Amino acid sequence: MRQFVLAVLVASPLAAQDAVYTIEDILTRLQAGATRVEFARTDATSARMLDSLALLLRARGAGGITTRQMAEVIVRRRASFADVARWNPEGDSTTALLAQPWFRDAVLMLPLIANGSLQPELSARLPRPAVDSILTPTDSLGRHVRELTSARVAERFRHFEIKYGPSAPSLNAVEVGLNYLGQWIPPFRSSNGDPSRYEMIASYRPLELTLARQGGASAETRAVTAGQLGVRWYHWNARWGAGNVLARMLRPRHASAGLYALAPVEKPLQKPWQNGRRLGAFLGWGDFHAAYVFDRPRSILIGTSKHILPYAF
Amino acid sequence: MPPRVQSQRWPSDRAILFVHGIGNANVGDYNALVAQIEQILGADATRFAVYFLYYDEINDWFAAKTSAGVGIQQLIGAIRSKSASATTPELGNAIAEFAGDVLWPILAADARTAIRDTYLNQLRQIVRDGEDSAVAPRNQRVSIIAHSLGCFHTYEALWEAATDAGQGLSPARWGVQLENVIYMASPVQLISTVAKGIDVAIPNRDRLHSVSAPTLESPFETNVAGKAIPSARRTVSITGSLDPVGGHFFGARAAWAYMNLPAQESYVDEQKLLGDQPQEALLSAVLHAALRDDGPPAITPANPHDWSAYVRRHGEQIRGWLLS
Repeated sequence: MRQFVLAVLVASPLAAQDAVYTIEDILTRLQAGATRVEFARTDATSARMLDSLALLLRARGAGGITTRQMAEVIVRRRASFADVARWNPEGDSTTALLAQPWFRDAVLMLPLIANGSLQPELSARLPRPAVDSILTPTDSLGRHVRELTSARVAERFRHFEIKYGPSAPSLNAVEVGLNYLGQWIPPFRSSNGDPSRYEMIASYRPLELTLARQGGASAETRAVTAGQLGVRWYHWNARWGAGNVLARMLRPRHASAGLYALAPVEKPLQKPWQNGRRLGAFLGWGDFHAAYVFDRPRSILIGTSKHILPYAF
Repeated sequence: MPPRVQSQRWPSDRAILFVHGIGNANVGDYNALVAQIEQILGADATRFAVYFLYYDEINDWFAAKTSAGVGIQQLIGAIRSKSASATTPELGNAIAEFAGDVLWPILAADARTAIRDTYLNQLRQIVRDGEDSAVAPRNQRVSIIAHSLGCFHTYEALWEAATDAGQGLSPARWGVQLENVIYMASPVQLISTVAKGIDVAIPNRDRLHSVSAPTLESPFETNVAGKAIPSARRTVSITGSLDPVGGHFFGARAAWAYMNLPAQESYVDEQKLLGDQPQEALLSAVLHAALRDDGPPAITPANPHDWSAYVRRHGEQIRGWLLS
């Protein structure tokens, strides 16, 4: 035991961070440390829990699971079979073990015993290097948890930036109200902290352009007024909204679809939702949209989703 | 790009994280405050790794997206009715507008999450920097000094860290226990009271710790034996007798607005406004100045909400807390 402890003490802290630790490493060192400080006498509950966990995890063959794998289970909260198959490509009982709900609870209990109960006893009785050595595998688990969570948060931030960043579409006052209420309504509300990819649209478009118009009337392009009521969705894939101008047009960061209402009088700055309106549908691709009005005379229109007057239309 | 996360080598086992209040803060804006702290610490200043939390970029995103201020009339009404007995209408309006700017982000769940994630990301990096500097989390002495709205974000972030095992930052499970959390002019109770008054309007209310709990408490986590392990070994609250953000109106404490955490060390500075103008007008001007969103926090000793003044008045105590 003395030789083992001495060998660990001479290892540098940074080298210890690069080492691969397993559940067996955690259990061995914690139980050795608990014995050294007579942990069972000062905190019988925690000591029994540690021994029980050790028995359980060893009996289930979990000794070889690394702290990295443990951290994956902790951070993702619920691992799917696909997740654990990726962690353990050989596919054996470990795969099934990592996917068990109780396994996450068990691995979370280990650092709680180590840091929350055993560590004060260790620090009161042993020199710091000895304490650090005993807790190094547990520290490794904490480090992996923090790394994985930060990586996950970075991905979530990318979604935040797509939906709320400087180049994201802004909302007018009506849309602010609708999307505020949408925070309670699936699929518009966030899930587990991740922003919803959906957003409600209620826009006033004072300068839409007619491309084609049914009937014998003149087919010249004219500016008309329309209203939109629909849904915008954001593409989280990093390839969308990236690259040169053409690439961003072909793969924009957002798209939209919904109901389209053309004002009865075909002029700019009209009221689109009044009697006599003609209804249709629109499809948006990035900052541009096209609409088809199926009330007669049928029309095809295009427009931009950019606000002419910020927060208004 | 997510908000920048600072990373640096630690000169020893100590670090300080400054968390600002309202107002754009960019790299370099806090140089005067850092100089002040360095003067207080003297030769010991070199023992500290100093960090700043920058989150105004996120505020700007949401403000630009949603036209900040829309839909806060009910908040202003709630605050006005609360402050009516202690203030003139003019001051009541100023307080209401101030609090409205503070409170509107609470109505956007994504804004709250983004700021909280920024905070926790920085905390994780601080712990990582300590580990890379050969200081295990249990041996790290990290202090947080927060001001104004920064106190609210600190309170929420530390509770999230204490209650979510996946963050890797809780005191019992992961051994991440702060040395000091020093709140200066904290609006946490103010926000909690007003938000509870309109709680049906707050999305994801259960994830807002200052609102979901019946009373405010310093964050903690229980160990296996059920013992509460606090997120900070020392919690300090400093405010001023004329600082309404910290819950005082003309020397009178408003229980509905003053943060009083159990076991906190409390300090209320006696303050006087300078000048010949009526006190209400002066205080109104002070609050509007505190809302400045296009410049760094100015060092104005006459401003009862001024961060630098709080630091100066408690220099020796801060030195003692940081070096303990």
